[in-house]
Amino acid sequence: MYLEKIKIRNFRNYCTADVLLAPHINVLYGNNGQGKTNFLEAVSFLTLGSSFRTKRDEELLKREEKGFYLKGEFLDNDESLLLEVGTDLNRLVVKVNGVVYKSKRALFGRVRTVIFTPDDLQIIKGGPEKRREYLDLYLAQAYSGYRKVFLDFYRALYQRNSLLKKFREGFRDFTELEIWTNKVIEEGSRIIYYRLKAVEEISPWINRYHQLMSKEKEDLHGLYICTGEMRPIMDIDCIKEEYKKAIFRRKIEEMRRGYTLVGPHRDDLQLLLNQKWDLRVYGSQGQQRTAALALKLAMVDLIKRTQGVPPLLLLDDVFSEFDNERKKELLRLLTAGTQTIISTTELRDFPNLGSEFKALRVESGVIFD
Amino acid sequence: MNYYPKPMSKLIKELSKLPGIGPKTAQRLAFYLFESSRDEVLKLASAMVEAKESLKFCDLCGHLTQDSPCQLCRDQSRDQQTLCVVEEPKDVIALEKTREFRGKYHVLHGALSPLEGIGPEDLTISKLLQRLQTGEIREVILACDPDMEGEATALYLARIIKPMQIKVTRLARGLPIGGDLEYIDEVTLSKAIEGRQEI
Repeated sequence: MYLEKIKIRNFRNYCTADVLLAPHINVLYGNNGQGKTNFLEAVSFLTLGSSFRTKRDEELLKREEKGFYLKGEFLDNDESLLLEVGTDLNRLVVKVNGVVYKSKRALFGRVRTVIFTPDDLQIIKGGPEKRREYLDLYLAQAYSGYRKVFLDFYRALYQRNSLLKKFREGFRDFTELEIWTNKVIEEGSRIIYYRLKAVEEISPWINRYHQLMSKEKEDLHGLYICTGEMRPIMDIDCIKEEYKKAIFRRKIEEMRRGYTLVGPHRDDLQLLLNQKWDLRVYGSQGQQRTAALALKLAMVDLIKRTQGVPPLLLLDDVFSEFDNERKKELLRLLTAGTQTIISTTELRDFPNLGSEFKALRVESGVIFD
Repeated sequence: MNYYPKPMSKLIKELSKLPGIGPKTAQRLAFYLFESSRDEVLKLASAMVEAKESLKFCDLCGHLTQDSPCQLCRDQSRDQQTLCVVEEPKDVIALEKTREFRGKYHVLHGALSPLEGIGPEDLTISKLLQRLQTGEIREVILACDPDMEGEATALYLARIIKPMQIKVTRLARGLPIGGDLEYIDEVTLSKAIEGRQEI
C-alpha cells in the first residue's frame, strides 16, 4: 500500500497543495519553516487519525481559515483506498472510500504508518510513558487485536480506580472489587503478553540498526520491565498468575492510595547497552539519537512481518544530526521497498537521485515537483 | 437571537431536550404541532401526561407497568422457577418478542459502573436477593448487555447467587442469524468458537 496522491486544503501553512508521490523514496527539501514537517503531519493525520504534534485540531488550521480538508489516495496492486478528513472545527467529516464515519478513529490502521521526528529523542530520554506510547502506537498497527485489548484494559482500569477511590473513603464491597480486579488482570495480561512478544522480536532489529548507524559499536537491547515484581514469562496464563499475585501484594496500599499500582499502565521498556548499561543514563547523545531511530525502523520490520506489507515511513529531519558516513548507512537501509517520505534541508544528502527517488521542493507552503 | 414568538421558542426548546431530537427536528415538530388541529395536540399531550402518571415500575420485578405487580409477575401460567435478569425494561420487551422465554423477569435498572458512581446498592440487587430467598426459583438467567459493564454485573451476580444453590446461566454469545461469517468481528467470532456446539 502506498500513497499515490494527496490533496491538502488550509492545513497549517498550506493553502492548496495537490501532490503526486513516488512508491519508493520521496525527498522533501527546503529551508526551515517552509512546511516540510507540516506535510508529514498531514500525511500522518490521514493514516493515524491524529497529529504527532498536537491533540487540538484547531492548531492544524491555516491562520484566518475556518476549516481544513485532507484527502489521500492509496494504491495496493489493483486495490485503491481513499481516505478523507475535513473539519470546520464544529463538525468533523471522515470518509473511507466515500463512506462516512463518525470519528477519526475510523482512519487508524488502514494504512500503517511509522513516523520519526527529532522529538522522538524523548522516547529515550523521557519518562516511561513515552516508551509505553511508542509501544502502544505501533503494536496497535502490528497486531490487529491490540487496539481493542488496549481500550478494554483502560476502561476496566478506570472502573477499578473509581472503585478504589471509594474504598479510600471507607466504602467496602470486596466482591465488586474482585470483579473489576479480574477484568483488569484479564485485559492487562494480554497487553503485557503482546508487549513481551513484540519486544523480544524487535530487540535484535533494534540492535542491528543501532550497530549500523552508531559509531560506538556497543550492543543495544530492549527489555520489557513489569511493575510489581512480576516475572516476565511469555505465556498468557503465567502472566495472569503473576499479575494476580502482584496485585494481591499491593492490595492494602492500593486501597489506601485509591488507584491501581500494578499493570501495563506503569510498565517500562528499558534499553540496555552491552546488556547492562541503561542507555538513558549512560548513552552518549549520538547513541541516544540513533537508538530512537533504530526503535522506529525496527517497528517497520515488525509491521512488515505481522501484516505482510511494509508500512508508510515518514522521516522528519532525520539527517541533521548525522555525519556523512551514517547518512550513507541510513540511505542504504531505506531503499528496501518501503514507501518513505523524508524531509531535509540539504538535497546534497541524496547524491545519486535515481529512478527510486522523487524530489519535491517545499517553499512557503507550496510544493514544486 | 430569538426569531420566534415566546410560546414557539419554548416549545422548540422543550422538544429539543428529547433524545435524538436536534434543533432542526425540534423546529419541524413544533411547526407540525402548531399546524395540527387542537384535538390532535390535546390527544398527544394527554397521552404523554397519562403515560407519565399511570406508569410505574413493578414492585416485584422492576418492569414498567400500570399496576403493581405487573402482568408478567401475576401470570401464573409462566414458569415460576426460572428468572431472567436484565438491565432495562426495554430488554424485557425484546425478550418477550422472541416468545422463547416463559419464565419471570427481574430488571436491574442499570449495570455496575464505578466510573458513573453506580454500585450494587444503586441497582435492584437487594430486591433480587429477596426474591431468590423464597426458594422457588431454580435457575437465574443473566441477560446483561455483552459490554464490559454488563459482563461485570453478570459476574458480580453470579458470585453472590451461586452460594444460594441456584443454577446460574447467562446468554450464549455468538454469530448473528443471517450474518456473513467474513464480516463478523474477531471478538464475537472467537467467542463463537469457544461456545461451539456439537451437532
